[in-house]
Amino acid sequence: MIYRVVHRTEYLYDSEVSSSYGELYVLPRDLPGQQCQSSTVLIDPEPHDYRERTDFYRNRVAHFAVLEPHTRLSITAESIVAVTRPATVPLAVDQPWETVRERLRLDPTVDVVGTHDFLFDSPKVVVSPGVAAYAAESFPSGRPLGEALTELKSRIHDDFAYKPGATSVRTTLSELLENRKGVCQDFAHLAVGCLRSVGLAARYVSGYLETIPPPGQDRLVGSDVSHAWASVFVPDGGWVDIDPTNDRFVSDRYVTNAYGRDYGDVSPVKGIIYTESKKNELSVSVDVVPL
Amino acid sequence: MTIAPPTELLASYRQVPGSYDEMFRPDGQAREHWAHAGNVIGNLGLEELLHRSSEARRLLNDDGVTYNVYGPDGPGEGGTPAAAPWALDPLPVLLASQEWAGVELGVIQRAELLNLVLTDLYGPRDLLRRGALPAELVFSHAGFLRQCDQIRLPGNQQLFNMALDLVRDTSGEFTVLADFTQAPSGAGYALENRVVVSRVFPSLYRDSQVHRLAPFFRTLRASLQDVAPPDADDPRIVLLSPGPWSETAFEHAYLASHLGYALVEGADLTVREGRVWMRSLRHLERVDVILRRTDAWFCDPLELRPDSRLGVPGLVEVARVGGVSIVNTLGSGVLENPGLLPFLPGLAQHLLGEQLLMPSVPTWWCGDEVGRRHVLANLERLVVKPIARQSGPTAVFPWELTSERRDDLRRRIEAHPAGWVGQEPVQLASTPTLIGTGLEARPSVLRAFAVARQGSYTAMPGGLTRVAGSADLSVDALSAGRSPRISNQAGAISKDTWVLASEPEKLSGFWLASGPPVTAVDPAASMSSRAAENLFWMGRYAERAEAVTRLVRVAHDRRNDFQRSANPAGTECLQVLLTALTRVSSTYPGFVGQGAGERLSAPGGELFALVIDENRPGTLAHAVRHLLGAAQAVRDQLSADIWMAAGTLEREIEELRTSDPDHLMVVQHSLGRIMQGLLALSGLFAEGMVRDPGWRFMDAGRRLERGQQLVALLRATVTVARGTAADSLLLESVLIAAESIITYRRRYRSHAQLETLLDLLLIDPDNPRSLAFQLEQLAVDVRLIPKLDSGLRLSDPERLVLEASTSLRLADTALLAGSQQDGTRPELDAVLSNLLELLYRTADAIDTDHFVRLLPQHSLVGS
Repeated sequence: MIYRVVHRTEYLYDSEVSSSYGELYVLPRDLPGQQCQSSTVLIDPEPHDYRERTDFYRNRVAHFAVLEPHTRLSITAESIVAVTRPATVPLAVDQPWETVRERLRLDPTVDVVGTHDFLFDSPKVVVSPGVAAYAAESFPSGRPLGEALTELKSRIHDDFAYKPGATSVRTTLSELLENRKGVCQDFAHLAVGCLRSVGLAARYVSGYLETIPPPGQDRLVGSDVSHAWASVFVPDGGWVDIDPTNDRFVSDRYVTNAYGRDYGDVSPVKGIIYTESKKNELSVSVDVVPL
Repeated sequence: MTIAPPTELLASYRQVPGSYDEMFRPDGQAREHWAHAGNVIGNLGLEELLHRSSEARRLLNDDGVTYNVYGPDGPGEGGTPAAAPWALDPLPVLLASQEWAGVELGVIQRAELLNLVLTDLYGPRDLLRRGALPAELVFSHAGFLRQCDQIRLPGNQQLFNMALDLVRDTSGEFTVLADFTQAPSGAGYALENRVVVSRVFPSLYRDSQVHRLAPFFRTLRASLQDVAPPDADDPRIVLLSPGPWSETAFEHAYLASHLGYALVEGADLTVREGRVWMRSLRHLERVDVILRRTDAWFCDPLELRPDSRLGVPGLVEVARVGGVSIVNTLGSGVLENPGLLPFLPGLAQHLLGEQLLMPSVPTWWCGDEVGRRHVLANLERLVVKPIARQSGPTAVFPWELTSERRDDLRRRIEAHPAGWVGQEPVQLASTPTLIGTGLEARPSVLRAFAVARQGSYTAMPGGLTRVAGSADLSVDALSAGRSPRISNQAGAISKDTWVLASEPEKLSGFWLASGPPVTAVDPAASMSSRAAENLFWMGRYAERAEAVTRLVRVAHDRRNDFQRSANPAGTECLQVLLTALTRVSSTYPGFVGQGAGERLSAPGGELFALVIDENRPGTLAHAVRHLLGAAQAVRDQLSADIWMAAGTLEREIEELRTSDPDHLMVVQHSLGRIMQGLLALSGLFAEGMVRDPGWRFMDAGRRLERGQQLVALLRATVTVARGTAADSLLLESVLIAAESIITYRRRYRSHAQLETLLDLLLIDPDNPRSLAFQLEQLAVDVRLIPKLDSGLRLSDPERLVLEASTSLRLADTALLAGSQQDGTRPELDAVLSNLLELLYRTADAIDTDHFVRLLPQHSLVGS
């Protein structure tokens, strides 16, 4: 599938902002099964400085600085992305999850640097005893990883209500487990935490979903905003992505933007502004249209 | 207190059994390299040593050497630290040349090794790939900054400088307790210690052939030049500090001024076009090298901690593209990890092909099975540390904990073992330390320093020795085989460390250099706008303090004359002066607003408050506190003499606080000494500072403030005619307060007249206290302040000063002195209030034109 992805972010301020410095994770990266053919970022007012680079995980990042006074800032990223991700899950997930865990540490073919970074707590994914207990249910001994993943994503989907506004970027996993409601970022964090709690390497993926479903299929939750899911490393199989928000394995209806240890590594738009303004109005829209 | 006779001083020294002593062999004889110093110390005797010690204290005090101490909660919201005087025991620690040579090699090797580790961790990460270092030890360490992955300093050395805490074990061998690579502190204090100790023991210092510290700082300077981006041919170097409240703020300013670099805070810098710029007086000045004293996390709110107010948004990105060299490099804190210690011998073999020369204190990382088991099994006797430095204590001494707390610690280690290490407690060597009754054996730690130099490292010959601050941490703690905490926050005492040369040192690398003349740095370009602002306010507060002191003294005098007399004119004069005091200093309600009647009849309390209440704007103490605050922030620009005068002010005010407010004579005497301090300051401002743009700002602040104070005083006193008796007393008081009484008497001899008073105080261009004089100086100051627009137009401040001068020149004092039937002088009041308004506007215009007003910083998120 080839998609045009348009991600718009706009801020309206109630008083003048003297300067804005921003860092954007809105440019889809290349991956096995995904290639970004072109992309442009339009920032208004026109930034004084703009540069694109890749980060620690080889995600694409854009930096900008708007140095003239403004009361409105809009960022529009438009990309053409070819997704050839197979719809099926690799056979390697048939290994018992303990085998995966062991090979991750002992198998000399495993890239330590590329995987072990995702084994440990990160600022927004702190594995509490509660998280470990929640995960344990899906990881009885000897169970093939694929089955565990299938069940884990379904449980998160069933146990938690999708409720925008119920959480913030500061919500912890413990709070989430308590309140049982949140959005895709929260569910992705929980899945990542569960996977790490049993000793697997799991990363947080930020991306998009096809906006209008193909005929006969459901419109997926989170399709008009940026989306997030979890990914787990399987020796011989590579990274396997699960979407607990929609209770499915990630298919070619998903476009990956970037991955990291958690949301904090790849938040789509962040910035520092200088202003007396106490509040701003944020609007975000995402369109993913097949070409 | 019994004071031992000189010969007994050394004999009465009690060594710690079983511990290594710096000065004495176990048999009680001084070690060979201490022979000379031991004789000198013994012959000087306790009394003389104590005298030298207080001399050292005085020198440190005069230089304003401080260390900011935080409360138990550490630096936090609203918690401003207390500036503790820097504690120095002038008795140096001596190291023999040969022994030092070994230490030096060990320090240099360690810096080289850590450099290779750092280079790898932010580069190929082969050490992790090959398993030479466990991935978890690095990936789960808060100092590993993934954002800084692609930052490379020019050259091969990614680790620019470091410090190490060295301790001796019982056999006297040096062992490394900890490495400091984030933003190592202490080198500046070591230099200051040397300056003081060499003055306190001049002949001992001269005769001992001590290695000098100056070459180390020259190397530092040269290496900072070398590390600049290749396209910077005359690199601009700045020292980035978190600000005057950081623990080692003194050192930041001291080093900046010693090295000749601008001292900047995050808000002084900005980022654009892939470069870092300083907001200097003349637009933006490019910065090539940043000597960083701010922890990396706080350096860039965009990519690192979004809540940091100490950083520069976009700084990481500029470092990444090589537009600026930040040293130590952002991310160097990853090496401040005691979990690395057990791996260093292997890494030395692996990376250098060498044995690790200087061992570390035996350490077990709980991230591996064996280490964890060892630590948990020996929890009662090991020192436990988190692998990353956080706020709060860095080391836990489990034997000090209750059993519940110890179990809690055990659970925390079990829950996240990779985050902890256990270390063998060290029985520290002791060092003779001067206390009131003699020499006491106190445990000591030596901080050593190394800086990159042309592919290798140079170690500072010597370092900063610190001994435990109190006796309960000394001998007893030592014999119990426990490591006491020796940190400045815990009140440690520092010592100078002398490395003795085997032969007289050849002086090299003089400051005086041959070659083509060096172009001077444009002073306007090297001064940040914040520094200019602080100088401006220093001038204002100094003048404000002077004005309020004079006025309070005048009021006290009149009170003395008339308070209990039935002289109505005297009483009226006193009342006018008191209300003027409130008006001029804007300390309402005071003698004007609610409750004024009561205060007027018993003014002692309010007058006292106007002197000592530092939380109330307009008082003397408030002005002094802010004067010193502004001075702290620009201490790199100021002569050290300033602190002598400033110290007097603080001490006098402090002393006054505890004295009886109704004891007028005491208060007047004290105010007299405060006045001396203020005059000393103004003398320093006038005679001790170069007339650079910074001075112009300070002088402009002074002139503006003096003008405002004078005009406000006149408005509050002479715009109403009173009876002749009251007015003659009042005019005399006004002339005294305006420091013009002697001139007036000499010049006009006859009785006081308002017209001639106005001549002298307003329009006489030769009276340094007149408004005309202030405006004339101010005109020069604002003309010479660097302008944004070099065109022919006047700047706003220039225009306003010209307007004020003109309106003053057009004023007819004879006319203004005339009063209406009801005694009011509306013309005079109108002219004065117009002048006051123009002075206020001038101050605002200077602020708008020259001082950076950053809007509040916020972070932005969007999904």
